[in-house]
Amino acid sequence: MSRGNFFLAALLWLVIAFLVIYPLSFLIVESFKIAETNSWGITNYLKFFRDSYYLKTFANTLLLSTLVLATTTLFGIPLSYILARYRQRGKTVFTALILLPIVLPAYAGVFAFIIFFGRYGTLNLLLTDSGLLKAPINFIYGLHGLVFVQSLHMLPFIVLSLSAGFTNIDPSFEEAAEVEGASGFKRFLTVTLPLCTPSYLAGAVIVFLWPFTDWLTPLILGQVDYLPSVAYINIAYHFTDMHRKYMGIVAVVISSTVCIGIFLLARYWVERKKYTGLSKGTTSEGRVIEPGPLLKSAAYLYMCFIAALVLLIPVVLGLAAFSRRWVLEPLPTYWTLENFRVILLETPLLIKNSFLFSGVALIFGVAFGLPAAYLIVRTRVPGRDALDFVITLMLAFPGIAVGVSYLLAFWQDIPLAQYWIIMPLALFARRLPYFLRMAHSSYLQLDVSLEEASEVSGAGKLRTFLNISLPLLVKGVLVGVVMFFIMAFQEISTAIFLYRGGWETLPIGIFLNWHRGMEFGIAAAMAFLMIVIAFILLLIISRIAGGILKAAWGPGGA
Amino acid sequence: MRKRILTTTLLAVVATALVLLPIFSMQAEAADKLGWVGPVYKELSESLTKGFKQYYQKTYGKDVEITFIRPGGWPVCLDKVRAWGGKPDADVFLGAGAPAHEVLKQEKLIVPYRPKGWDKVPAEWHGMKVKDKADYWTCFAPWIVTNLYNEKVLKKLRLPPPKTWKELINPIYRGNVVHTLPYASGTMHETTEIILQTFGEKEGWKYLRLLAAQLPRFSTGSTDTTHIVSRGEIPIGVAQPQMNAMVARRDGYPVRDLLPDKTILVPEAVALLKNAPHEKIGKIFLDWLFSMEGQKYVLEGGYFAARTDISFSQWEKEGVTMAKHAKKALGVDNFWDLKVGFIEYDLDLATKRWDEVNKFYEYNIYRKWGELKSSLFLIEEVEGEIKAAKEQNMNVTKAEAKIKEARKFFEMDGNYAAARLAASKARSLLVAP
Repeated sequence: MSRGNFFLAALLWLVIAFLVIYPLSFLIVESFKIAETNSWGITNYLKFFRDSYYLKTFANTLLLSTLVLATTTLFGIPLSYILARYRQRGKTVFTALILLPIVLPAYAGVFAFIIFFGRYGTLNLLLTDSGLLKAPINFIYGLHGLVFVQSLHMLPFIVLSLSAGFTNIDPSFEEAAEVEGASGFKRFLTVTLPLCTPSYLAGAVIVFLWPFTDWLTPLILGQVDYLPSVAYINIAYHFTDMHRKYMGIVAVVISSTVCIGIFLLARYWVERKKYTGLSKGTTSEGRVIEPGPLLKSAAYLYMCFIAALVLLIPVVLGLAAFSRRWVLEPLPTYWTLENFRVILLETPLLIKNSFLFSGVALIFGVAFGLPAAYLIVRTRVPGRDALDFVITLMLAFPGIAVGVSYLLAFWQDIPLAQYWIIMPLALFARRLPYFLRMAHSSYLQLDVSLEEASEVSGAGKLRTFLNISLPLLVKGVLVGVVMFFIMAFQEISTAIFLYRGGWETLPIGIFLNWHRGMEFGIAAAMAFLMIVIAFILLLIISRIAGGILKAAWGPGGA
Repeated sequence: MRKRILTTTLLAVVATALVLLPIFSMQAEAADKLGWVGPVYKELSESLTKGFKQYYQKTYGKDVEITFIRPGGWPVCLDKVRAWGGKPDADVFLGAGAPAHEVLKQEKLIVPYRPKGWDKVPAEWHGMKVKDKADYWTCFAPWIVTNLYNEKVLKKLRLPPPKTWKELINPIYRGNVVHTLPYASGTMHETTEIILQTFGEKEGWKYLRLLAAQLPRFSTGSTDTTHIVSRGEIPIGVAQPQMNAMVARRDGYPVRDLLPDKTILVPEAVALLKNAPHEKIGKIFLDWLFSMEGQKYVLEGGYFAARTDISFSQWEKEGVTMAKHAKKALGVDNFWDLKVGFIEYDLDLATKRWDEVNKFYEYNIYRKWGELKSSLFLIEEVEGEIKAAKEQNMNVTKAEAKIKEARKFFEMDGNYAAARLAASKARSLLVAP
């Protein structure tokens, strides 16, 4: 326990205290207020647990989380295995494609699906017009639709974390298993998959917690009885009914508590076992398998199936972007460039803001996340667990709650919210766990003896970190960077509450245009633009990532 | 080597960013400024921005920089002003009906101001206040609570548009009506209040129960209702600002408004925020907003204009494009000439029981929605059976009495379980009277 570690921990705690604890404490305090009196107490909590309706929403949310996690895992394991291991053409494009859904604010994706799968959407119209169906089928309104939409949205997290895991496994483990006679499938189940547990759980926790914070998707699909949606309605629409507002906040606090519990459980599980390997793989890409022709075509088919579902979003939004009044027709019949003309007048600013805010947030995120992951995994500084909780707490707080508390905390006494820096700061605080989770799990897969060797040889802590740890962590860190950036890029629910005129980001632009109801074409054009930007970004990052990885792990590298 | 370059660059970027940040945030203020916060649609804010900028340049020879913040529907906007805690980041609260402004006034978040042209706005209309007596808020864009339907889809379904509130609960429309929760939307709340004041409380709640059974789902908010209807997903939308249909039609959507037999006015109003940072310019804006010129930009922004001395035909001649659409949508030359079935709206009562109504709806209709539907459907089934039994000349007097009881439990008491039980009893009485 060096003094440096203490200093670092103190610094990080300071940031957390200022950006997380201080603002969120405003919320916690509110949850104990009793409406129409000036008193305090746990009445709101008691009411919550005595109310069968709230308990029902709670159960619904748990069920939804479980279903979404099961679905993403089921579809994610083969997908990430194919992407991580098989030598295949077009891997970069497929990877980027599969990452796409998280780039968009959830509601943009849902709209695409409503247009396609809705009651009078493209698919139903094609089926009824051709006489195959008498009455339209309800494809998406309901639990099944919700599971579908959220799973597709969250699939990238499972795929990213699993494929990072698959790549990071030392090939010698698998080779040893094969030498011992374990066939491909048995080897996969008994060696490969268990070794990926830390990576998998990093993604799985994010996926599982998502339904606890996503209030908009259920609402758009006409489902209110989920914890975050109820919380949102209660907080956003309380008007003069303070009791409603406090109950909303109670719902937020309770779902955060559940989230922390689940998160603790996952961490306990990971740390009970040892998952590290001494050496890193011989190639930058990890182990690569050349599949047989049958397996190869099956893998292609599978990737194409998922990619087709994902592609529906940009295709449908693209069609909507180039048309207007697309109603009750399988495809639009009225084509125009008008939407793009309108947005070109307003979007340069929105694009600039989006990049600026997410970029600055990213810098904060990396500068904070790396040392934090180091402290949590590698040191025994007191309070490191608490640090981890507090950061992960942010996963569980809905954006509007964060927005409200930030405005309460940083408007009057500390007038930070009057400067644009509040936008990246809020994005940083809200999306921090996404980076930290990945850095954390990469650290777990890196054996401490490598660092110890460096320190024994006389390198200092910082030098060891920069020369040994960081290069070995690059893949996990880069994945974290990508995740963080896109999550910051698409953030809306906090930003919408904090923005001042001139600070609008692309998601806010989409929201404002969508909210007008009739301006769907413009909103679609913006979303389409966002997809294009993000897709290019993802392609570039995959390219660069490959280069850095080669430098770090290639023959001439470390 | 490359690694070192990478890390050095990374650190350098972080360092420069940290140094440069404060400089960026201290940009000098040049042009005059004005800020709006409120729930009006983007089209209106854009139209008003354009108009006021021109006016300001013409009159004062200076640019005015306008910012507009719309964090959500009007309860969210109100909460934003609350969060500012007396140090607002805007000067004018733009939009929202009387209830919102009454709360702003009660919570001392706005200050009185009487803009020029104020006397051209009526003080009251069919019991609804159009401006505040103490000058806290004034209506600049009145509208009527209407319903909306998609004529293309209704035609496909071979359904006539429902003209009255009563027609709307006809079972032929089941699954084809949508509205939101009264606490998620001001307009839906007003609609609930209209129903309660039109039919009386008992009958009003009965109606709302039957209406809820017509829905395949609730919508997220009034705008979501507009969306769902104009996209055709569900053809009939309840609780819509009147101008939505006008604008949707102009944009080519097969949407029409349904003026129900009983409705009320919503005075979309404007107010000056307390401690407004640019109060002087805020006042200039309010004066302009109620001038003939400002009112034209209101109409161009897709809202109806509020002055009594406006003639749409005159405006149409002067080249105001929306005047034609407004005349068509309203059927009169000035908004206040409208002849609709207004109820005498008791604003005080409505304000007083605002939260109560929302709560009652939530607990008795929304939370029990599944139960509500299954009870009603069972009653209807048994009623059908009784009718069939009657046609076969069976003795149905007891069953009939029982099913009436079930109806009463459902409609009057909202006791869905008792209603189901009574319906089941009625059914068994049919078999073994």
